[in-house]
Amino acid sequence: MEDMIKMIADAPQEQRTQMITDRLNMIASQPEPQRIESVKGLVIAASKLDEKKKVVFISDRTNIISKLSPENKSAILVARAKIASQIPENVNLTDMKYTIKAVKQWPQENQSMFMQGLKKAFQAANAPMPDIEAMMK
Amino acid sequence: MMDRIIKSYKSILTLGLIIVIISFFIGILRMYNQSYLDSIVNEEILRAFTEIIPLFGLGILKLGIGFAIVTIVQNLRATGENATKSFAKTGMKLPKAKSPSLARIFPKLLVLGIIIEIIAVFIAIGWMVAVAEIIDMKLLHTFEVLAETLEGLGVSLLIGGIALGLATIVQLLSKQATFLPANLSELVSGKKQETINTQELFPKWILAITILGMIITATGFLPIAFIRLSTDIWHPLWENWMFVGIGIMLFSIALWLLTIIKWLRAQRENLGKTLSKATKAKISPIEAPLSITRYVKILAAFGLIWMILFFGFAWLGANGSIGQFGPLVRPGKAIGMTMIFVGIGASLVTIVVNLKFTAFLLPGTFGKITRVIKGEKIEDTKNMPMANPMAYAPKKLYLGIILGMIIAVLGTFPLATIRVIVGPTDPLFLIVERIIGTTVALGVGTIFFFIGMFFNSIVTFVKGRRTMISEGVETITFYVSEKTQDKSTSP
Repeated sequence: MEDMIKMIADAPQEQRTQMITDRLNMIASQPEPQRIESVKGLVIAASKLDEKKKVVFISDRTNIISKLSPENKSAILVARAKIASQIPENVNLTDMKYTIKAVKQWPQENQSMFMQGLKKAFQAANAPMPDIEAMMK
Repeated sequence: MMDRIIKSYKSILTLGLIIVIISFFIGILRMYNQSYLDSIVNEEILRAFTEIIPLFGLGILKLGIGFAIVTIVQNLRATGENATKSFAKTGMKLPKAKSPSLARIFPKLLVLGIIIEIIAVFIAIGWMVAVAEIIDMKLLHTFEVLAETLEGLGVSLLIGGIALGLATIVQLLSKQATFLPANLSELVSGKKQETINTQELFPKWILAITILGMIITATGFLPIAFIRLSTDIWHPLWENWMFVGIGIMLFSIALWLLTIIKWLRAQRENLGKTLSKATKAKISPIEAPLSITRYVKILAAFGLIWMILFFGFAWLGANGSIGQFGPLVRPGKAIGMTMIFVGIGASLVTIVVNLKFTAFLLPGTFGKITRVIKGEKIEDTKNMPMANPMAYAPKKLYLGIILGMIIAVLGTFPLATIRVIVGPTDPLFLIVERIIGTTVALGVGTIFFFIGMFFNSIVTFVKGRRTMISEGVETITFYVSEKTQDKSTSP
């Protein structure tokens, strides 16, 4: 997985966007246990990218998630919430921090829609929500 | 343990390059070493060092490349095994997978090659000690002959191992490029697909060329080394003969790489056809072959002919027919070798571009086939934009190979010509000779290092491909099994 994410992160913008979109749609259509493993691999692999590429990759991923179909978006976000306790805390928080950083670039309306989706996902996953309010500041 | 060493191929490449660079500076030191005027012993020790150690550095670099190929083969096999397991879950009848015989042989050749090179280094140390202690001249000669030719035998096994590693990639890739799309089509349509027998398409003639090159290089040890123990053979004659063998092996490597390119393109074409059948959409054909690929065969053939010509010149030189131009004969062959490397570099560029395009294609292909199997309608059949393929070429790595070629060529005719001009009585004649070998070795070492980096890049893509194919096939087969269960449980 790490090599694949590195490969995607190194691709030019247009191809990167297309590959992340295809990949997320693919993961969303996986059976749940496999989907959780894939999202976990994706987040951990992204955490191993160098800082610059990590910010760009997570930002692209967040933008793309917001444009997925509602079912696929929910599937990915719930899987993301479920893995929060299965990955190292610093990886989880850094990933969340950069996700929020990307969200903050959007218009207010889109921001609140995404955040609502994220909160619902954490509720559905029965997972404690990180302090997003603090991260948003 | 062995797996850990194989995975450290990048460190092995770096170590090889460091040895070659150190040897180059020893060559410079030897050039400025005036002590040979007072003591020929120092000069002889340095000569023994610069004859063997740079070649050992090159051996380490070849081992690094070989281990990168082992990593590629391991990942290709894992991809095939994962996909086969997933396909089997749907009840699909698959032919029993056999591990290619070459997959077992080539890593052993690599290890054996480096062991022989290490033995050659120990003999070279014995040679240096024999010089320092001024032991029996006959023993000194035996050490010299054995060290030089064992080094050649090691080269034969290492380059041969690399070539056979590439042949293994051809065996695995041709199978996967054919069966993976066919099996996916079968899952979508429910009909058995016709496939070609990839074993019949395996180019045995390239394998024969590789083995011929290995045999010729190895004859430098058996019987030539033993003949040299009793008879004096002009150095360039036996050395250029061994390099004909090396040239043949490198030529076969260029051919294996071209075959890999053919199958990488076939894989993308076949996946495109499968997707087109599944989605009933028109998929645009893949891009035209890269223009640089056309030069691979030309450069490789020209380089090999050049090396054979220089064996011819060595033959003439041994008979005293080329007079004062003798100093050009030994280093001149390296130009042919660098030409083949430039061709090999061009094929590696094409392979990386093809792998990038494969990586762009795979997630979308699997995603769309999954949606078709789930019964969804595919409206978006837009292809990934793939205009201007050369924009995706790893130009910096190729420039590294060109840089190595320039360094190696500088060590050939430019330096050798100085020797021809000044003549054997001038001190410059000997001084220049001292840096020819190490300069060529530095150039070839630089080329090997960048070829290793190319393979490192290929490893990244092959690992990515493994994840995408394994996950993709697993997801598709999950939905196919689910669909089959639904059908069987419905009244």
